[in-house]
Amino acid sequence: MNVKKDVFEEKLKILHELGNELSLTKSVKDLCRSAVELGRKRLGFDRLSTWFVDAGNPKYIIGSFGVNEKGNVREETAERVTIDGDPAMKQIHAKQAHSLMREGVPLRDNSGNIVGHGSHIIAAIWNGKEIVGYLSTDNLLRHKPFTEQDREITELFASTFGHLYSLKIAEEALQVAYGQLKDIQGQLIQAAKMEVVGGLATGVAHEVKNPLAIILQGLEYLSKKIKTGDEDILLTLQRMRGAVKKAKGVVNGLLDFSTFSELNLTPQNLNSVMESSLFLIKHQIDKRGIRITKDFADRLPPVMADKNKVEQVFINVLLNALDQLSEDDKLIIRTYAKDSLDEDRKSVIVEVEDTGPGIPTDILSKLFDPFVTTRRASGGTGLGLSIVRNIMNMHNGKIDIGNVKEGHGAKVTLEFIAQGQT
Amino acid sequence: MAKRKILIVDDEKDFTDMIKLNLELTGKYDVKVENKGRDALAAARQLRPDLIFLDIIMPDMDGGAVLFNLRNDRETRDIPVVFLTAIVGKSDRGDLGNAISDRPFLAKPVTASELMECIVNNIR
Repeated sequence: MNVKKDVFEEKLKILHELGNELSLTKSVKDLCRSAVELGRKRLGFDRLSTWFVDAGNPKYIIGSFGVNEKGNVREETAERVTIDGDPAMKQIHAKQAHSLMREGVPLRDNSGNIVGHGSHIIAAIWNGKEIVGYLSTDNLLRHKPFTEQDREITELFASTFGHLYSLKIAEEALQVAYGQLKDIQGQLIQAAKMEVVGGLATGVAHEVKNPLAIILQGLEYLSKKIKTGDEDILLTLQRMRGAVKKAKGVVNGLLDFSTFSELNLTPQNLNSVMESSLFLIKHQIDKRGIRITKDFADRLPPVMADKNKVEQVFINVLLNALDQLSEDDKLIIRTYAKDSLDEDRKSVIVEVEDTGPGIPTDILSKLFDPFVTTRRASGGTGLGLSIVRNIMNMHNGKIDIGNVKEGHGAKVTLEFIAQGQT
Repeated sequence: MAKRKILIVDDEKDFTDMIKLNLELTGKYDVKVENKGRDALAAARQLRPDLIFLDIIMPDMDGGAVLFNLRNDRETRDIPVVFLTAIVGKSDRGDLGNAISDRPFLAKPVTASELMECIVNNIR
């Protein structure tokens, strides 16, 4: 009697330590695997497995981790059986009990085949309110008879596991929520910055463009009045005109970037919008001699979009790509529909992929920041992608830019919501 | 051939003076400049220009209000008006009401040739 009591108290102590160790696991999956491994190792369980009630269909339970008939711990998430298929589980479920022990029962493998006979204990895993799973153990491997103490220890282990399982689920949900909150916080900060920029842009445009207008008129007057063949003077005047034009471009870009005008939404076939965008920049494509491959879906769902704004997006993306390509490079434009992963809706995807040098890694994270450009030498203002992202946001769409492979081309993916899905 | 009469209305005096110089250099135009909206109304009635270039954002009376008054005056309502604006956008027009929603405009900074092409296209 005392020996039994000592053994039991020893196991209680181990259970307490085990609870502490399992509380340090990093995820639900890690908890489940560790529970089986440590349960066997520290509490002396023979075969041990955990099962969880299918939240989508509570008549079923889904495997987590377990020990097969050869004594190997393995992931059993592909296993799905009915609660009614196991008399012990069925009984516990019906009575909402905590545990049950049976002797001399058939013991099965995960395919349901009988692999022996022996003792079997099932303990319910509770989350404090309801049964969320089952802990199952038997003595198939070592045939050591089970005692009432074993049932109690199993029940306590299942109880400890249930508490930890609920905690881990809550932790993971909290981490996801925290991540989403950080994202939203970042977006809000960005939006606040943009609002300030918007307010500034109008004032800057007015205060800068008027002096530019005066300079330009002055240059024109001097060009007519200075009767000279001096190349340097003529070149200087030309450069000054160019500088005014460039400054005008920057200010216009800033205005475009900060103006959140209303969209004129109509159903659009993005294949047609892409074709018209390509036509608008045909001269630049021909000048560079780049080969363009079009892989357009035959039947593309319409998208509610502002055609002019989407053309602006496409043209911006295409020109950015063309600027990096040489004559031997290719540009591939794809369109297709797909089911969106994060929400229950259909999306229309437009991909622009090239075989150029790709985007430098140090620029990738800053691509959408205003005034970041790799084309400053050729007149780039660095506002194009900021404007593109704003337009995509206004359409509740997404833009993703990355390298196909380090140094082997870039890919821009634009995702629009198909009509009828908003 | 008689010179065409152009009225330039903009609160930036340096800008209006430069445009006057450039347009009159062509020998085709007589240019009057006004830097205040109210003075522009009086000048339009007196001069009866063939075309008015009108800035939008002016401190005493904005371009929209000037246009409104021009349109409500029998003597000036048929004079073609072209806006000169530093801030191009729907919100810019929208803020000044429906009366100017169909007015042509030039975006600053403009070249002399753009001004002259605009004059040719819009003059009465």
